[in-house]
Amino acid sequence: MSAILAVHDLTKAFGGLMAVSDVSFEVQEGEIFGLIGPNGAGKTTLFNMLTGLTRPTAGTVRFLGQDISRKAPAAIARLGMARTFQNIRLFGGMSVLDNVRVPRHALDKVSLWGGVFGTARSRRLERETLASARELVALVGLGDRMDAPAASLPYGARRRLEIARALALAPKILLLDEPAAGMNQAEKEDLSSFIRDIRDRFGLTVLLIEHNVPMVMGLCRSVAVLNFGQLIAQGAPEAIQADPAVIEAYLGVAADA
Amino acid sequence: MSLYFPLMTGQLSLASIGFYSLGGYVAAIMGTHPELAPLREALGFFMYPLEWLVALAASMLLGLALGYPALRLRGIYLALATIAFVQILGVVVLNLPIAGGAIGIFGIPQPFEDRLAYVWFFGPLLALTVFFLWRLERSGTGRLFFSIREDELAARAMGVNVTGRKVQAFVLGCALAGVVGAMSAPLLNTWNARQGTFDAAVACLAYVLIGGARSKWGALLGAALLVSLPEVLRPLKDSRMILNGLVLVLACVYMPQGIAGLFARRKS
Repeated sequence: MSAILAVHDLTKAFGGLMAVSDVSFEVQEGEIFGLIGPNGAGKTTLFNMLTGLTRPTAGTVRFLGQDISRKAPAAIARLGMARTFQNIRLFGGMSVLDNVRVPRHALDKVSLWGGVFGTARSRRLERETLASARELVALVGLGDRMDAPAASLPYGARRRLEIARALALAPKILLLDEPAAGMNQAEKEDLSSFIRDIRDRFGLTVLLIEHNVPMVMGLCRSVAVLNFGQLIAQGAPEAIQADPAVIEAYLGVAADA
Repeated sequence: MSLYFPLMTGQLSLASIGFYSLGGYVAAIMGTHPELAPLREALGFFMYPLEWLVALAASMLLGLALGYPALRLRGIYLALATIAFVQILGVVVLNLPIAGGAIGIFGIPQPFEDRLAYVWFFGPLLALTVFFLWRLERSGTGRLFFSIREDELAARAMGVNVTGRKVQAFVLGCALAGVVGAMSAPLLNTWNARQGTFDAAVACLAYVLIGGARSKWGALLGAALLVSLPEVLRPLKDSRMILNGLVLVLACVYMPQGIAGLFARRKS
């Protein structure tokens, strides 16, 4: 196995606040990598830097051997990095199917004139996109809601649709930002096995932010722990659970709450 | 409807009236400039389609040049920048000898005697625009436009070239406005800087707001209502503008999605 994603000394300062400071880790191809840490630890900021939405203050991100730390989000996405958002960001007014079609159209860089005048190429792309979008929507169990506006779906379905939309980018690595937020125990277990399934089916690498420690421990092969923007531990789940720094970070938060 | 193109990507641009003015000047100059007389004689009626094409090309080029920097701005700032563009264009044409300065251009050749006959110009253009939009909304590019309107950040994260697509939408709107201007110049017979004013830009905005900003029919419905309303209210004499204003305010409060929004709600 080789590192598909290598983060080196990544830092983000918002004014004087070090949201993320000197974080380095590697994600191996095909693994499910967990990123945990208390609220405000900088997990989402880190995700935003990986996907190009936030520009790092310092440090590099290498993805598939390329330095992507200064690239535009759309370019990074088209390279094969797809994500979901902590506070679900679907294209609410568009149908379930259209939500999943957008990334494919972006990948294909569909032509405006081709689409309007119905050229052979654009008709072929349109057919392929429709077929693959239907498949992905069915995969996340929304086959009977294809034409419903995305905003009309219940919460859990919106989370699943966001994953389907990310998969439509045919990503090499999938970044999930708290996919289990607001789910009950049974739903979390379903989600865990679903993440494993799509990893195997699409040959994905998964990078996962999660609050739910048991879920991360069950799912991930390696785990990194952030606290106050710093990487305080990383390794196999068992080692992490025994790590005194991790216990302190979590207990400290628990005592505050 | 020219405003609807950038609105498909969620961008409010008020530049359309500037491109309308530009297209009109193109047609006015091509229709009256002495040096182009041989060309006009050779082409006859076909001079008009040529004017449209030149106006189209000029609008698209200027639209591209304006769009790339301006579309990095969002929301109200884009609206301001485009209004600034309209004002600058107004000052430029006022001082450009070829555009006839403050007097403008007179005696633009007219292909039809009857004003109603211009429907042969505008009718096909409207049909073409509706067809174009209808196809566009159902194409991949249309879906990319809408994704930007729905959530620009998510669109970026899904690989959508947001700036490029916004510029595409904007340039389409500019092109349409330019052609409409080129068609309007013969109709009005005269063209001057008053064709592209802030007031006109705001009137276009009102059409879209009342009609509905999320549907291609919105601008049409809004324009039909707002142009005819003062006429319908004419019997009320002096108080008619008050009532006119009242209707607009009530429409904004009770139909935030515009008239087109009412239809959409009934459908679903």
